[in-house]
Amino acid sequence: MGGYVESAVWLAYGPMALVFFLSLVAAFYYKPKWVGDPSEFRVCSITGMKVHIPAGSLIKANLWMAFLFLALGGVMAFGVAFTRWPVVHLLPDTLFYRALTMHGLAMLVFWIVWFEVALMYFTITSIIGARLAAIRTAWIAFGLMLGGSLVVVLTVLTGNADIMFTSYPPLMAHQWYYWGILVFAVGAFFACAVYYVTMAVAFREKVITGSLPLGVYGMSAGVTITLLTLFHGAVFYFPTWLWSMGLFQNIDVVIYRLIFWAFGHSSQQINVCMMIACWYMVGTLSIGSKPLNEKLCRTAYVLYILFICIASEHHLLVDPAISPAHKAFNTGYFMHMAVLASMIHALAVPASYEIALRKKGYTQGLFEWLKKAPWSNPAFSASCLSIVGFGWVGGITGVTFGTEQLNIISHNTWRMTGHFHGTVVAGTSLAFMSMTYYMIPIALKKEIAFPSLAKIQPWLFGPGVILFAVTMMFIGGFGIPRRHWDITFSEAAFSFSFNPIVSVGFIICAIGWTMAIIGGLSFVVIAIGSLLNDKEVE
Amino acid sequence: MFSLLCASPGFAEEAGGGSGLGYGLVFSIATLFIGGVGVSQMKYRDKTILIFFAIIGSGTYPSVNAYMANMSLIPKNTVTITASRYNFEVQGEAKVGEPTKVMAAATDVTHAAFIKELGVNLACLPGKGGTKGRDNFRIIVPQQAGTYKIKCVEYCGELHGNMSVDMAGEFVVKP
Repeated sequence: MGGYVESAVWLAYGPMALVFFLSLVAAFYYKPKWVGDPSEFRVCSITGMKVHIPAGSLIKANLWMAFLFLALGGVMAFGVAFTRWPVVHLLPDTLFYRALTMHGLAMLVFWIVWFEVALMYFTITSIIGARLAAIRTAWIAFGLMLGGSLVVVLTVLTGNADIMFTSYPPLMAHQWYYWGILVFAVGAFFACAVYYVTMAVAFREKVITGSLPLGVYGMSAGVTITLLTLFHGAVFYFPTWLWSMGLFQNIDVVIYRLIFWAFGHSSQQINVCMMIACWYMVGTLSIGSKPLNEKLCRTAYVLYILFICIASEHHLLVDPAISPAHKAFNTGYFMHMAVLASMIHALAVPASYEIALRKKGYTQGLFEWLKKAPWSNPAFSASCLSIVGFGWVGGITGVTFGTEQLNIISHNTWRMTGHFHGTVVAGTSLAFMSMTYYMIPIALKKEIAFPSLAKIQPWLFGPGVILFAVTMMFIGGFGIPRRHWDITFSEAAFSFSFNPIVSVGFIICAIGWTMAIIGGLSFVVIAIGSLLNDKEVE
Repeated sequence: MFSLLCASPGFAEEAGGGSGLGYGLVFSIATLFIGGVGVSQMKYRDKTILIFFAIIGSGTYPSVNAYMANMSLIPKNTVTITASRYNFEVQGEAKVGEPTKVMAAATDVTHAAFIKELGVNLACLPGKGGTKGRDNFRIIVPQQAGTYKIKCVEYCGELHGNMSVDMAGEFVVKP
């Protein structure tokens, strides 16, 4: 049954491995003839570092796309959320599943990847102060990603790909959907290549001497996982694409799901790496924090790279692909290798914030440093809320739900939805929002627009997401399924009703959704306003 | 050490291959190696943190044991769930207190059978071109008699929200 897939795996792996190998060889022998032109740099008034000016337009272009997709995902979120609430039940079933597919793709793939590419270029050019090598390739990457994402959006919105983000076969989308995804992925691969080439050039030109700053080290770990993830993505998307064109007769869904989650969960680990890098960078930029123990933090990043594929298997706990023994041992033991890394950061990041604030003289009692922290600085407050959201809402629940026993009563229920809104939205998205408040002034030399709105934005978005994520997990415990149009089963032949407390949960969720949507919308307004802002940072 | 204790010999056959022994060995060696290197590099405070993690981590051992104990039971009954758009077909019955093997597969697209009260949550996967896919199973010991509705928890098409569209799809547990 898996014959087609296996041969396709080789079809995909062969060229990709060759390209990877050749690019490694090229990077080794590449000798830059052109040494950085001093007129291409300016000195940043915030960090005092050199900033590469031509990289600015690339960062700007990538940020534009990120914010536009965040807005699109937000509109879809509104439709999805208020359809789930039985009192409103906004959309009909077809439109609901379409909106859900678009919401997943726009948020989990496009907003996050576009932002991550901007973040990659930002760290390498503005934090390290290197010149962005291969600018033309970076623009090609931008073009590929733009083309791919537009094709995907059009295919989904026209109703040709109502198959959810996971797109498990035999549910088949139109071939253009897979085209779009693949082209987007090739673009992202080019962006990663630009990052590494830039870093190699920076080492060669002695811009980087010694080891990388911790934030950039975290970004590099993220980019490394990106490469692994893209390979996994190619392994199943490529044959699936051929299948959608009728060239393959069958896709083995068991193998598809296995490899999909090596892609799907590893991609979340990219977000985690880059989010934690943002926490470190925002801490340094806002309060001058320094990591507690660099060696420990760096080890944690290495643990992510080494163990993320093993940890991804908790997605397969209800699958026949792996044996029960494997499941039990994996989720009982191996998963914790990656979890350990998160726990190291969970202690190290807040501790570094505390030490930095205590050094500023807030030493009275246990919590004076917390009371007098710069809460009105949107970057700092967003970062702190993101730590709370990721660690206490998304992370801890993820570890517990990931164990075999709890998973069996939680898999595919709203507990999962609540958990990953804690990690990806309250964690990653909020951390990226906090980073935006520094990226735009540093890389683009533009002031943040609507500063008073910016002060309250994290306080709307963060608590809003945390509120609905926790509530979703709570009522998910009563067995509310995820990806479900109508939990009242009004059109089903049988009648079924959940515990009445669920309806109270929905009201709390609705409050959280409203807060989060308003917070997200104000972020889009602030961010796009800042990109259009003429006011320069002095 | 704990992981070695978890591997029960009868279990491998039931699970269809893959005894836990290999994993236990690999894990123990990896832990010793990483732990040893880590601790030798650490200061006093970091060692305290490590011990803290170890205490939390040890909480997972008994739960893994409990799960393994359940999965290595010899089932007396078998209940087969076959999912297709938009219905569940159930064959067989379970009895209170008797280990039951619940099998699940699908014939068209991916579905998932979920009965929270019984701890059944199984992906139902299709095979090649409309055939039944690989059987997915779980061993449960029902505690309460009754008729349970199976809910689909994997998106399977437009009417996924209302699966089952007729009165079938009931999981019966006899007293």
